[in-house]
Amino acid sequence: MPWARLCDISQTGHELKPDGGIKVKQIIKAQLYQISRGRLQYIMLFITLFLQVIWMLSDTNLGFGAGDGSFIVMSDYITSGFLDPALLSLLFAFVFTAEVCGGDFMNKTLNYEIMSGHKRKEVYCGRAVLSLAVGTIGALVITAFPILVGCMIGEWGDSVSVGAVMLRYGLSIFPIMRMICEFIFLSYVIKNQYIIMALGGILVFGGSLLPELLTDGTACFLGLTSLAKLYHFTSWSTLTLVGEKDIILYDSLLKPGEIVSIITASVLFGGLFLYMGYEFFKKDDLN
Amino acid sequence: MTYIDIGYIILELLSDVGLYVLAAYGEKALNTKWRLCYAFPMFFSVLAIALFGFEWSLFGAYAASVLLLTGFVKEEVKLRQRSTIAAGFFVILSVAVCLLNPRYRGTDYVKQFQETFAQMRLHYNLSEHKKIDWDGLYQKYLPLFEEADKKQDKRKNALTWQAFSVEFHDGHVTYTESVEQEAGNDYGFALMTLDNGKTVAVNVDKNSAAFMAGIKNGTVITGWDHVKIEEAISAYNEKPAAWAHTFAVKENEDFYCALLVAGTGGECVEVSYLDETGKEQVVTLTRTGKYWERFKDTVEVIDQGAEISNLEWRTLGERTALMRMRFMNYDTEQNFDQMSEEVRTKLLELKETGVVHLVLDMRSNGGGSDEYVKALLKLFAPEGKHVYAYDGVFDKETMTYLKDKTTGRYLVGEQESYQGENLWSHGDIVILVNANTISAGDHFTMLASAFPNVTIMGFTHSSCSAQGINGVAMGEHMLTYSAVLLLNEDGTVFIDTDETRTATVPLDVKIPFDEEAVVTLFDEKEDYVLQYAKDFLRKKEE
Repeated sequence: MPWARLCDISQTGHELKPDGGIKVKQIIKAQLYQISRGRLQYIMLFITLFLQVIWMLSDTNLGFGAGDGSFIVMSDYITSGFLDPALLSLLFAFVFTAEVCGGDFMNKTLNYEIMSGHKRKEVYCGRAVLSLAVGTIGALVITAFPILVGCMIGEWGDSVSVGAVMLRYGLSIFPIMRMICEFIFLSYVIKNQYIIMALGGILVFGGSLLPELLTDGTACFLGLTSLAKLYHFTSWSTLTLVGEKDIILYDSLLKPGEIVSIITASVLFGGLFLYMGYEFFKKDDLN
Repeated sequence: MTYIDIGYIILELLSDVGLYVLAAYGEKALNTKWRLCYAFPMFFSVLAIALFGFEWSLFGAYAASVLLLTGFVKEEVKLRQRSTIAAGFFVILSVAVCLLNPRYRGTDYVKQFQETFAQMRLHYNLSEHKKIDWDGLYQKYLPLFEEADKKQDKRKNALTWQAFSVEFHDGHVTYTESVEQEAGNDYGFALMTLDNGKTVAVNVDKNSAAFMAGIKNGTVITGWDHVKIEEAISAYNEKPAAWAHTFAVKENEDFYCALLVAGTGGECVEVSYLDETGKEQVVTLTRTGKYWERFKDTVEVIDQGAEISNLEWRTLGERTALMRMRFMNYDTEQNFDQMSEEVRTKLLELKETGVVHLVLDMRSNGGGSDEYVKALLKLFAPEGKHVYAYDGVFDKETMTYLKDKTTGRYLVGEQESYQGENLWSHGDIVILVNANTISAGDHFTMLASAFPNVTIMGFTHSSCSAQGINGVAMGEHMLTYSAVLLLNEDGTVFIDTDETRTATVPLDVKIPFDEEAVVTLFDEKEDYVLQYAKDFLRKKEE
């Protein structure tokens, strides 16, 4: 695209300057270029995808030896506890956010950007938008990957319908984006990508324990538990006398109140953390 | 207030004080990072809500933490100080609200009832068999739960759940929260109705005013609290007290009903009784305490089995041995093959030593695993295949068990069976039961009753509640109910009583509850049921 079309032409004959939106795009492009040259994100993507598939294949609830002719039943895999795989996908998003938002503090790239005429708002927005977009898409793809692989080599099953899982999968965008917003805020406060990555790791690998402590009605107050709520299928089980086999029935429906509270809380808290991150960065001395 | 909330409030107040001081000095002495301190109270609040639940009474404290965020955004000293003062005011206000609000950290009993009711209505598998009027139950109990909720009356809530459970007349419908205090007042003795219809005093405290007045074990009681004893029992029978045990069999409930009446009455109760000459006397008795202990003790005397542990043996003379079966579980690994082998070895050993008769003491057997039942039953069963029961056919779509459209009976699923070994064909087996022999205990009794050498014996039938159970957790308590369908071959319900509440598990010998039983149990402190079984076997041999 020709440079002239991207710029405001000043009637006063002063130097040509791109407008705010264009500057944000420039920062996003610059970040994408920088990230694409590094290896970390590719390694993270590969590791998380690999772990997802290994995790799924090693799951003991998938029906190995069940004698039903299929060793992978994806609906069983999802209903028996999909929070851990979903959390694993967030690892990619957290590492990406840490790299984009926190990485340039250490090598002073941010300082150079501001010195070269970029406003702080543009610097912040460019990184935040990129983190949110790539982090969310990446997390969703990594979450969906084992399901697609599982369906190709196994079957769906009848524990829960595809539509019910799709609804929850779609709604998971909100808590995922919210948690990325929280990590954007943390990145601008801590200014060290490695500490942020470590926090992400702790949240992902220790986070599956937290939902056990939480009360049912307040899941929406934390991003992690909102996600846990979405991937938790309320079940009711009955037994058979012969062979004492479990018949587990899952309630695939989400209550409208739960959906509204998860969306509202995610938007509110996500927005609040984005704003707080900017407020902090706006007055930061960048040392 | 709860300790958690007190801790949260203290943390909020300390934050307020700290942030007030920080406002004065922060501008000069501190860098911009310290603005974050004004956001910490909000993080605490969100975490507190997520971990300990949202509480409307603490809304002021939650709002205060949001108000403090102004200090994060604006760096004016006065604004920061004013926001901390306002936040402190809101926090203190929320403490007052917590102390004054009767619903503070309360449970929504109505919502709890509605959710549990809906789940139970969907999954309770004996609705049609017992002709449960769900709408009627809902109409009846909703106002009671609303009342409990309005006053946040925990005791009333528990009582209402107990009363609700009793409506099903199913030993498997139980609410786990105890309401012991509702057993009533103690006047120094309990009551039981004899088989001849007379109601007598039992378990009389020899230090009580009742005993001083001449009421002894076996004394006929004719009136209670200004009404005839029959009327008192009848009235009580029509409105079973919420705390009472659930009896699936009407006859079993009648057996214990007088025992429940003995706790009714106020500070004083007027009791009419027949003295030793047969003349009616009246005495006014003052309550001496809670009736619960006497109630429990009386039930224990009547229902207790042999005082030995599960699967332990005792010899009753040279020709009879007793095995106690307290529950239908073995070890933690449920190694029933090992259990079966141990019992088999013992049976063969007894046979060798000349033991002819067996007494299987299953009084108050609380149930357990059907595998346990099979592992023992096969030892006594005649050789060949024996049917245990059938599964129902469960439809995942409708979440119900399927029925045959023509007959209206349940469709029969897989068959559970076992092979008999006939190890004890040379002698008789007596199985002792009572109304608390339930679930797998009922299974064993029912299936063994078909063996030619088995006699079922007791004061009452076994519970006749045998379906598989499920439950709904309500905080620290739980409502259990029948949910796993077990069937007979023809698609009828296995064992459980229908709406007529007629016993389904046979009782071959009903031991009479008479004067002799009362004296043996409460004066001589002997196991009357076991003595009766021994006499029965001796007479049979003669």
